[in-house]
Order: sequence, then structure tokens, then C-alpha cells
Amino acid sequence: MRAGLRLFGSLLGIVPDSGDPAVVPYGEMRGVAFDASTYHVVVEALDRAPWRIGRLAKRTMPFLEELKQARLALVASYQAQLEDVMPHIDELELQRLSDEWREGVALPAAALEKRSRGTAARLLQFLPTEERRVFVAALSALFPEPPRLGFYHSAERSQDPSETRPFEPFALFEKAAGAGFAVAWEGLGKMGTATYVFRGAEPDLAARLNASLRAIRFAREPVYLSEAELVTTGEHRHYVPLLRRSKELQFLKEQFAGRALHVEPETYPARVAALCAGKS
Amino acid sequence: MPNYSVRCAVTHPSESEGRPVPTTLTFTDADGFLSTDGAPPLQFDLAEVVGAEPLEDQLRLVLLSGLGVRLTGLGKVAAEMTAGFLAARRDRTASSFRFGRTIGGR
Repeated sequence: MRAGLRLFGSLLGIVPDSGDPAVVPYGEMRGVAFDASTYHVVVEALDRAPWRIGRLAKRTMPFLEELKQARLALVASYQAQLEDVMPHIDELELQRLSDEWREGVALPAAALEKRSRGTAARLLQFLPTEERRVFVAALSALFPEPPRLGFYHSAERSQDPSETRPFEPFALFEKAAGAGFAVAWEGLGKMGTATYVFRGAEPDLAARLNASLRAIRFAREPVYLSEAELVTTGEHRHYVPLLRRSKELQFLKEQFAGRALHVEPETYPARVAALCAGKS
Repeated sequence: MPNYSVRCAVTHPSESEGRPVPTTLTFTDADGFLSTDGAPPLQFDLAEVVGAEPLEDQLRLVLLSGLGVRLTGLGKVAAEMTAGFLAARRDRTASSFRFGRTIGGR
């Protein structure tokens, strides 16, 4: 297929002339090489056949080098981010960890604790601002099980020259609610001003929501704004095509129960509890 | 804002294709516009172009709604117009799908 290629901060974007775009996150690349026999750039990625990129002519080698550099830059800064919260593990362990705890993937706190004790506590206590910590503590009290925790690449953060880590930490809290489950998505950094609550019957609801959030790069507006509002105000109009083209966004909107704004810490637990129970 | 004088046939999925008529194609980094004498311009979001097939001296588009657009009579601007339109469509699609900030591209 004929397609346009673009390198972004955390992924290779492939926009074909026909059909939906595809992405290859740098964190999922297993190899980037040049095949001299076919003059192709070959990108090996997790869980799929290698991408073979050809017809680049004299742009082949520059593209190969740019892709390698972009991937290296992301992986290096991501491993540094993980090292911040797991300061006691060695380089080999860190390499293996970055393969499992990939950018955008939230792992259960118990799995992180096995790797390095105290990781979940460091994430939940030290990364949120003092103001945010009150709401995170309330979620920890509302959800009996420890959350899944992860970091996603933030385009906004990467454009801020004062930011040394372009990753936003986040948590997915999950519990049984009625006949199904409720999941709360909480940002642990500076971004976002609300907790997003989802409900569904799927036993793997948190993992499915995580995969869907990764697919839309953790955008909040297309999840919580109604289609009518998105279309009418024009402020987030670029998300309107996504509403119709992304199955993952459709899934998120179907499961979305509501959001609890980070205001009034006294009433916040009751608001989250009501959303989890299906009472908005 | 690039604009090109072309001929264009717009076809609804349930209709057979009509005769191409003189049209001006204009596009920004977000939208495409087809302006034909005697009718308001037809606007579409570039991220809603799900098919863009360049052929010899023509460009065939398919919109998310199923609407088909055939642009012909491109003449000597064919290469420039097609390249510019396809690049704008790719960037808009990447923005809609929130790929992030571009650091390079082909």
C-alpha cells in the first residue's frame, strides 16, 4: 500500500492513501534495519509481521537514521523515567522491565512490587502534587485493590523545555460494582482536572480500557464531551472524525460513566462512588 | 491557501457518477472545499477522507460518508496539487488520531 510516514515523539505514524492509519510505538519496536537486497527499511514490532517500507529512494537512509534516533531517544528517556521510580534495579533488569512495562501500558501494582518493593507507594505518594494527593488517597480508599500504574508519552509535556521527562504517570483503579466492574482513570501528574469513571461487564475492563486509551493517546475531550458538543463548539473539531473512525473511542464512550472534578475533597469520594454505582 | 482549477464529479454512494464540471479545489490544513458555479462550496474535513487514490491526471477521493469525489483535468499542476493535498490529509489524519508532535516525515 502507498502511505505517508511521519515520526512522532513516541511512535511511527503510517497514514495510507486508503483505509485507517496505523502506528508503531517505538516501545514496541524490536528491530529497525536496512534490507540491502530489496532496499527496504524493515521495522520489526511486537505481535505482528514486520513492516517493510520501500520506494523511499534517496530518502531511505536518512529515514532509517531518523527512525533509529527517534526510537533511541524515546527508549532512553522512558528507561530514565522508570529508573526514577525503581532506583534500585540494575540495567539489565531495567531493559527487561521497559519491555513489559511499556510506554502507555499500566501494570498491576502487585507485579511492580515483585520487581521492586515500594514502587507503587513511590508513584502514588511522590508523583502527584500535594493538591492531587488528596484525591489519589480518596481513590485508594474507595477501591480495595491496588491500581494498575503506567506512564504515557505526553505531546504537551514534550513541548515544554523545562520538562525532563515527557511522560505522564497515571493509575487505573478497578473494583466490582453491581453485576460488573467500575474503573477510575486518574492522572498522577499535573495534567487533567478530573477522575474519569467507566463501567462495564468485562472482567478485564481495566486492561481493555488501557488498550483503548493507548489507541487514542489518552485524549480526554473526545471521551467526556458528547458528540453534539464536539461538533457544535468547534473547539475540539479535529476529534470529530476520530469519533466515527476509532472503535476504541467508541468503546470508551460506551463504558464512560462520568467524571468527578478535582474540587471539594469532602464531596469527592461520594461523587466517585455514585459514578461507580451507576448513579450520576 | 492553495487553490486549483479542476473538473470534479461528486457521487453519492447510491447514484451513478455524473459528468465532471469546472470546480475550484481549495484546502487548508484542516478542510477541503469544492466550489462550483451556482452552488455553495462543498466542505469536508481532511481527516474524513478515507481514500485518496492518485491516478494519471486525476485524483479519486472517498469520504467517510461514502461520498465519492473524482477530480480530473488537473493538467500541469497535477503533481503539485496531489502531493500538497495528500500531505495535508496525512497531517490532519495524524492530528485527529492524536499521534503527537511531528519530528520528521516521508
